[in-house]
Amino acid sequence: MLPSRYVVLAAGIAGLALLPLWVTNPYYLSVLTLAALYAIFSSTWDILSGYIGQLNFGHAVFFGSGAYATGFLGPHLPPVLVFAAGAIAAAVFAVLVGLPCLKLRGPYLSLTTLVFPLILERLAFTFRGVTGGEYGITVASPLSPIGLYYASLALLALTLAVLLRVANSRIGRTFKAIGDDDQAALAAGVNTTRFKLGAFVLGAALAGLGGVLYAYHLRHVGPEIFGLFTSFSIVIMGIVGGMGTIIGPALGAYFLTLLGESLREVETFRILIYSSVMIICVMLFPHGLLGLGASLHHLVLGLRLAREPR
Amino acid sequence: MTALLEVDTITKRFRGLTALTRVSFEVARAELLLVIGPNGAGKTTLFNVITGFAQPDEGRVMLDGRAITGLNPHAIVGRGLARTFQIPRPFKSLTVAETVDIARPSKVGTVIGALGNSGIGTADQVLELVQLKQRRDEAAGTLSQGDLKLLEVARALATNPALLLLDEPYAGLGPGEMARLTQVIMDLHRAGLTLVIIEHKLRELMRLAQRVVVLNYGEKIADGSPADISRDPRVLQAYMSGHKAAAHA
Repeated sequence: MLPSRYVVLAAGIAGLALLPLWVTNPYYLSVLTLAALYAIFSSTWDILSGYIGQLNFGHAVFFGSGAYATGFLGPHLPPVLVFAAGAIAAAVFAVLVGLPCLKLRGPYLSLTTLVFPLILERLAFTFRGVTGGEYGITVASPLSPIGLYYASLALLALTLAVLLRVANSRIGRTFKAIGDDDQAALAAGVNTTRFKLGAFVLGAALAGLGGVLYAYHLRHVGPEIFGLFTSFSIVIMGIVGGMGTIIGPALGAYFLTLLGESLREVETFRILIYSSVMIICVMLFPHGLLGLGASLHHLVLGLRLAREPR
Repeated sequence: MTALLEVDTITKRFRGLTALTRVSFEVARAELLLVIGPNGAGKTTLFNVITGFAQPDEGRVMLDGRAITGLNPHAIVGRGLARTFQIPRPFKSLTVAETVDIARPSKVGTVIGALGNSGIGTADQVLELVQLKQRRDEAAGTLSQGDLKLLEVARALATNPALLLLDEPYAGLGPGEMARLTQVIMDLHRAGLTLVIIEHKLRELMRLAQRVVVLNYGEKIADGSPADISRDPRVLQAYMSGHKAAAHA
């Protein structure tokens, strides 16, 4: 069971790495880059939300701070240091967001996490001298579009490998235990505070790296990155893909990004279709795309049972 | 020798309702103490205060001569004091073995080492102790009520405690499971673990316990040997007056 997951992951990444051989259209390539970046965001979201069960509606704070760090420091620092700055900025925000959230649970936690990106959005407007206000900051990318695609894919592979490694370790099982019952975890001697903060920081730092690439990719960073739709998208991708699986949310990100882009022509209905897909997924496939096989099996069994005479 | 656990004039109020009123008692090393009392007497609240899950309004708790009042529950576990919950709280995403494995063992307990080979026991050693080893790879959430109670004990033991608090470990067990649990408790007691047990099922434990503390309406009304307690008029009255059901236990 365990090794096969890594094999599937390696095969998937290899497949994605070969795609540019056929996908030469620059627009499609940029969509694929975006999908890889969203996969980074949703899988890093999953370590906190899917494992510890702290449904985080403000993940944009983390990759957004990485993106803004790129906007501020990109012109002054070599890319390596920009990446470091993006990860550190996100980690700092993880502690800032994480500390007040430690005592909160369920809807209270979710509402609190929801507020943070809105605060940052306001700050971006307020300090327009530094942030460029609603126009944001133009970012110069050190990489070509194809280079960006491979950088994003490499970061996705790294992110998934790190997260899977953690998730399948004693640390990951401790995360799950805290998610199941944090009082019982305390009784088992687990310092739940440290683990929750650790999950915040780990997920945020990796998301912050993704945020740097996101800014390079868009060649711009603006306050809309902290908008509600951005953060909600991550949650939707995670739920549709299958929470608590790391790979699932990444799949969900690819699925919904490609779906979203293919709906560009029907822009008006985009959110409607997007949301409908989510509702259908949650109702029919409670374990997400990754649990699709098992869910379909149950569905067929259920239908068959329903048809049988009593 | 000083007491391992010292509960010093603990008072706990919940919005005007006093759940515990100046409760004091000591637990000596290697002792098996039984805490009894009618429903609502404050027994679980007492456990919550001792283990850091609730803060007392007055008084303090000392473990091995050091105050533990105000410490986080996990830090108290680290000092060698573990507990179980009356209603099992399993980790539904984990297997039986994983449940025991995620526990953080304290450095002060000696029991697991005494029972197993040396040092802190492995998950399998702990499971063998409570006779759950054959269930090691099953999902914790799918266990029977009896096995869940034993898993509670196993998870607490995996923290390598010097003192173990069991909150109604017999509640919901069948006769066979009760015998299993009694055997586990006897083994642990014999190995030198200090135990404090809240229980209604008196007959099972009256033979094992060295001392009994009786709570009624948040106050300690008796503290003595099982023989003395069963003759104490205040205890009999507490159980007879409107608590007939408890008297049969």
